[in-house]
Amino acid sequence: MIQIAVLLLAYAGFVALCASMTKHQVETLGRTLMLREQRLLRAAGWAGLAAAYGCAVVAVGWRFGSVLWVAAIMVAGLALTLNMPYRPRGAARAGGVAALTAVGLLLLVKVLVLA
Amino acid sequence: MNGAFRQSMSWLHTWTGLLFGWILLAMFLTGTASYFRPEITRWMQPETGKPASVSTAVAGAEAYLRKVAPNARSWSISVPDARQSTVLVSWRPQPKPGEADKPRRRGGRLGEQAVLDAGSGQIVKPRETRGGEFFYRVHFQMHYMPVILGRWVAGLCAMFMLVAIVSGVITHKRIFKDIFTFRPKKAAQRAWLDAHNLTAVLALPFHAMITYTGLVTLMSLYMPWGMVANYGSTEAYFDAVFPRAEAVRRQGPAPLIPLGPVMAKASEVWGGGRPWIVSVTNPGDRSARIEVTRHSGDQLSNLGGSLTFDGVTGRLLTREPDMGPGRRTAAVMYGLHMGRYADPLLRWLYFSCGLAGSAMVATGLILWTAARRQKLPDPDRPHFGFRLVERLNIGTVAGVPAGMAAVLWANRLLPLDLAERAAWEVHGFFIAWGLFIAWAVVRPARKAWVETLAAAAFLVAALPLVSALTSRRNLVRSLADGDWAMAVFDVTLVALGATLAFCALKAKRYKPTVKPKRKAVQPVEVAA
Repeated sequence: MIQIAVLLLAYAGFVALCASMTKHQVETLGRTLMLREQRLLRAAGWAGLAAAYGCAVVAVGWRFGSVLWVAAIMVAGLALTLNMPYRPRGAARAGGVAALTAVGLLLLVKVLVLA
Repeated sequence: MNGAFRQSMSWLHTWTGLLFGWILLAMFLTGTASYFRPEITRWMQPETGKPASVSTAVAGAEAYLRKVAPNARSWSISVPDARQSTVLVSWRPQPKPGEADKPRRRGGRLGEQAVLDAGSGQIVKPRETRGGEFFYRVHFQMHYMPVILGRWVAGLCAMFMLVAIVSGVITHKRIFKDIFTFRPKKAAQRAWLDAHNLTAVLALPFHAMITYTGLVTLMSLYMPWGMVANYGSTEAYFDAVFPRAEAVRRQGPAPLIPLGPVMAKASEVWGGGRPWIVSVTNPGDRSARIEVTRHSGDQLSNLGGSLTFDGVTGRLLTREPDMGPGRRTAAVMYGLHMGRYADPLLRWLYFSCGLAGSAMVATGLILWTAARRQKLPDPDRPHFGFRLVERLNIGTVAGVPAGMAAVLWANRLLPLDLAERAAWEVHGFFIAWGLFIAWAVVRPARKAWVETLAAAAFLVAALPLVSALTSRRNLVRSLADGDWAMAVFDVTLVALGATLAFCALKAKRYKPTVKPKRKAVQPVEVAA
């Protein structure tokens, strides 16, 4: 389950990075961002990718986790970019959903471990 | 960066990519399929059952060998993992009187062999097929040529793939700025360039890793000089790193201990590792030795090492010494390439990256024509070189998937008692690929794209139906048996077929952007 969170966080991270770029703001978010928002979104994007790495290491250890993380960000990036020209808003919203689902999964795992 | 340098790299990228592209596409697609080699084999052997636990499989194999070859010189058991449903056992009978006692060739068969069902331990006689092994082998040693020559061809292609990757990265001016950019609705050249860039850049770590480690897997063939300089010959090197068990004289009968506890002990020594190959020398004798080689599926490295036990007392005698840093590095690279350690999720990610790599090669090939079509003196009657590339592109992009499907069709449709049946399945790959190229040559290019892609889509997507009509493997039965691997296999075939059908539809609906006729060049513009 944590492995699914890796994929979801990688996708969410890339959505934030993509939406923070000047050339993609309007198509993904429908408006241009203030400089501060842009920085915040970029930081959130990198945080998403970093969190994905953390989850990967927790799930399968740093050896396999590193491979899993690289594989996950590649496929997440492909999924996002292939969708961008067709439904940019949907791809961006899916990023939010992915982040929330990942957090939900991680909480669920935490609860299961405690129980 | 220097413009002239970038331009020369662009030239290098274009022409190496084109020249090796068609073989590279076949290598990428068959290699990608090889991540599911055991599943493909299972699908192609509908007579076999479901995977079983390691202990069940070994117990079945042991019982069989004890019955059939109690006094053999040696036994070997290929222990199946959770993805395989059969056990391959082989044994080497005692030499016949007067027969010279030749030492066994490295990697050579043991003489007699049998395929057993992993669950029941009974002999199964699956249809004659090479299964997933064909896709795996053709991916790095070609076909219809000596194996070593084929490996050199594959190495040459991989080397130029590496050249194309490095020169491509240098040529690409805006890797990070354009990382999420895909504009399929723009003019053909722009759209194909975007598609090529995104499949190349986003999966670049995979492409670089798979190409480089691919070369590493065969480095002892390509660059033997280090080994030869230090050991005298590559054979001497392999003898040193993989010592062959010396022939032990028989010392008189003694019962062989059960293999189960030995497996358990090996697993304990490895901290949970699984056995992969179990071989026994002199079973039923006081000198019996049991060698257990570790399955590499729980580590990045592809070499698990082996343990040797006394066959009568079960005492651990020797363990393979730890590898040095050089061998360990090479083994990890080998392991990364093969991905045998990957759990299902990671295996699917590997598979997706392999498809991205195939798409990268295919879009690169198409880009070559897209970039030149507008510049042709007469677009309706292109010159020979352009036509050659265009037709080979169509015949290969649609023909290789069709050829791979043809192997599976042949597996189900060829008569079971056909002589050379397994070889004919393989011929099916090349016959179909050749027919698709011929198809692309005789039809107008636009129509050829639509027709060949549609035909490939049909060949791939119809396979579950063909299987259901001709064998006991079908989706309903797989689901009812809880055989998820085979159920997912059928669904994946339909999904891949749908992807090809989508491409055919896109090709049919494609309307070339009409470029306004170029005005005569004004002298003023030239001055500017």
